[in-house]
Amino acid sequence: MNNFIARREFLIWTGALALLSGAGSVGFAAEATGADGVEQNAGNDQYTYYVFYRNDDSLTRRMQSAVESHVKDHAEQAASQKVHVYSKDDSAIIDKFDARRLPLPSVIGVAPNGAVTCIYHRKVSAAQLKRSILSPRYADVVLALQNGKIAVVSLLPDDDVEPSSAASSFLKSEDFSDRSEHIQVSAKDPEERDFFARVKVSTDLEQPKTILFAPPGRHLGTFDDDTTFDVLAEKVHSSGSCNCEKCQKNQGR
Amino acid sequence: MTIRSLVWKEILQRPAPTVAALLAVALGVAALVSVQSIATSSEAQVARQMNELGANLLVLPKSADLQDYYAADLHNETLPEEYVTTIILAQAVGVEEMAPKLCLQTTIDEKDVTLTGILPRTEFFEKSSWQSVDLMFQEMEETQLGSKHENCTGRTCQLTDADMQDLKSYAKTRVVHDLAPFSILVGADAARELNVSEEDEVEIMGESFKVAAVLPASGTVDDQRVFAHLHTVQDLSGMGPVVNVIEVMGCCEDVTDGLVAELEELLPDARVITISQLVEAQVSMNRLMSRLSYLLFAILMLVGGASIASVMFANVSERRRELGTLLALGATPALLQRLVLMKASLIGVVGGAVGLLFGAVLAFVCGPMVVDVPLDLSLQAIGWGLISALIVAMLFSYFPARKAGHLDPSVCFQDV
Repeated sequence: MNNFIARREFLIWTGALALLSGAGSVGFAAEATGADGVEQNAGNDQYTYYVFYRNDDSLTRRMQSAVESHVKDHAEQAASQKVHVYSKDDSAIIDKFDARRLPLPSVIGVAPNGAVTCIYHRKVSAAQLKRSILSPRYADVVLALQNGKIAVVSLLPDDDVEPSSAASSFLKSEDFSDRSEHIQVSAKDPEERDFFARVKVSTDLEQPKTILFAPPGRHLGTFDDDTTFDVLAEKVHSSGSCNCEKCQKNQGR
Repeated sequence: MTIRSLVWKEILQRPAPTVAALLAVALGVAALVSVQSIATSSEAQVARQMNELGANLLVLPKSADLQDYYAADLHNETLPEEYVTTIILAQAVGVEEMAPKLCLQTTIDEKDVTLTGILPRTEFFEKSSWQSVDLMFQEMEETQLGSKHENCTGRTCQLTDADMQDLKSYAKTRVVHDLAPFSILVGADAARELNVSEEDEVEIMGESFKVAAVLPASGTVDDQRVFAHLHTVQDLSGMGPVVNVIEVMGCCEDVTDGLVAELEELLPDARVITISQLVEAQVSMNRLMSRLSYLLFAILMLVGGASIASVMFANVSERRRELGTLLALGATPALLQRLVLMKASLIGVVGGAVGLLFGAVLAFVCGPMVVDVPLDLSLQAIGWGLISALIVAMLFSYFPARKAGHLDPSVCFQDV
């Protein structure tokens, strides 16, 4: 009996502590700053716009106003945070973006997947901010480029259509397999309509298309389904975006 | 007795006036050879710099003074490091690489060294990649952001893995791909001075650094430096995110003018200069040195010539009796003229040779203080110096020789 009471008391105390700690974490999240904010907004599938500033001058206020207006227009998708570059509370995000070495004020947009989708300093327009909100697959392309990879984008008429054989061979090839990332985008996916519009390809496509992007944001070309692997490879080799043995030899290394 | 022995005995009997004349000629030749050799070596150095750095620009604080490209960061003025990010984000056409630097004078094992903060490429690549969306947009819309200079393949090709790991190439390229916060690169001379080699641990300002590489000799002031990550040097200096200079490497010389204008507009509080502007200053200084050396040579040659003429006139007057005796014994006036001219030419040739030796020593001793490169003697100056010394000595001895030839033996003996 005593053991039971002791166990019950233990459970009650443990539960109470758990509740208290839970409440504490809720409170922390409500005041989440910096890196926590990114994770929190990413969890909500939201873009985060950081306005880094040193002086609260007219430039900063104008930039903040543009960002707030943008966030208001995209309330479901975006959140913003104003960060003083010497704020100790925000040191994690300041260090992450090396904000003290940025021309200020600056705005940096971060997609839910962690890709940086915009950086502007001193002034920013509504059109530029609007451009920084990407479709999920487009954000994946940007993240791949920011990781130093060649983005091989397969535009597919439908989810169950296979990518072009050239794209598949490219991804398996010795020269490019560890330097490229494959992103498949379906024309039937309503979220990706904006992607198709941006890469200037109609969603009414009948055959898969392949687009190659090289870091930091070079468009190497859009290729039809009948394009061969050699054409894709040659495009990358000739662009100077690759450092395979063949390119090194051509460059006299 | 031959003419040669007569001349030799004459010089030995009256050495002081001969040596005085000889010295005047020697000084002129020495000045020409030393200054011309230094100017020639300096020109060669400038040409080498132009070849290596032709498309490079320097972004400096407005108040910074600049004498030497390789020592552009050796001043106390600073620029905010955000200027580097501003240039990256502008995606200016033709910018291939950037090398911001901050210098800190410190000691390692009680030896004075210049610790130079450098920023690796990875820092630029990351910030540049934050513009991916805009770059992709601009590429699709075929506008100019991030475009390459037209018809220019650029200087640096895509980096290979070996390039990325190669730290020693810094001595040549002045850019390093990646550098850990507490790793250092040590210049060839500094490594010798500090007696350090790769993998050694070195303490700088209370922090422990690992020697990541000892750089090969480059023949520049970089050989005497120690390089660390810019942000580490900033932390050690306590100066915050600042730099002394930003070196911008252009893809080719054609792009330089446009780039200067673009950077000046982008960074109105900084001074943007091209290597050619710096070189022009050095070239005009060399030209001035060269002209001054010829002027000095001409003046000293005139002084030397006058001195030779004076010595020879006095010599002819003092030796009237001996010359008269020679004439009485059947010597022709031409022989007496040859005697005088031979002595003069001997002064010219020996003076020239002494001047050449003195000038060479002067150039090798003082040269490295003026231009920090190995010196080569100017063959042109040597040729001009020796020939001019001989011609001046002969020319200025013409009238004394003529006077000797016109001596009348009967008048000479009247003095006896």
